[in-house]
Amino acid sequence: MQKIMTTIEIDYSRYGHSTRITVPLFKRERSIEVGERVWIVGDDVPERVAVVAALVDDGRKAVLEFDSSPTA
Amino acid sequence: MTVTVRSEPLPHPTTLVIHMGAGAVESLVNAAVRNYGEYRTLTPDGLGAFAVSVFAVARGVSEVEIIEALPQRSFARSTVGAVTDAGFGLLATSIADVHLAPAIAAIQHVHFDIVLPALGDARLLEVDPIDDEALEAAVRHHLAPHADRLLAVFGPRQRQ
Repeated sequence: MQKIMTTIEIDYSRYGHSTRITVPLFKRERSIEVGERVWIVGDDVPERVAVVAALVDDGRKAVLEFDSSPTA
Repeated sequence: MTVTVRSEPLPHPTTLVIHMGAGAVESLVNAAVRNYGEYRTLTPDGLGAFAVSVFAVARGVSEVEIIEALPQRSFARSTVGAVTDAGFGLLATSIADVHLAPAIAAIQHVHFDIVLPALGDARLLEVDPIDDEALEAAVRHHLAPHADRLLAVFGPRQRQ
């Protein structure tokens, strides 16, 4: 069965237009795996997809990569 | 990402501060809880701070530069004085991350965190709420009315 994409809300005021970001994960979000695609949402920013590039801090944080900046 | 506190006086009370986004309480609370781990060591009582990211129009940085450095399609203005008069703390903080985009890295010297009133829960001394769903729920319940009150300190949301 295909896994439903996880949605992660981030605070873009901490990342701006960065294309590689490190995001703390709530416990319920920690089922994501490296290489997986996730939906990224933010307050009044169009949702988009990022790829989980790495999991760090014993899986408490994810390094996410976007294809481009949010407004590109 | 590492948050550091800048040792400097607060800007003049009339200085504008910009909060980006549409001003959703849930988003504001979500961000404060998610990022709490970066603020756990910033208070002497060890309870940390729940923080809301804003930028000051100060030190040569214009409102346009702030807005262009961020992807949110809307924003609102308040002043340093309005925020502190409403009882919120204000910390001069900078975010350090080698992967920060140049435009936002360039305005870290005018980044501030508005500190929401503390939740006096001793569990915070040991546990980050992102690791404990019951604590997370308690924190969210505590922060929501303060977030609502903070958003009211800002003027109407403007579209970019």
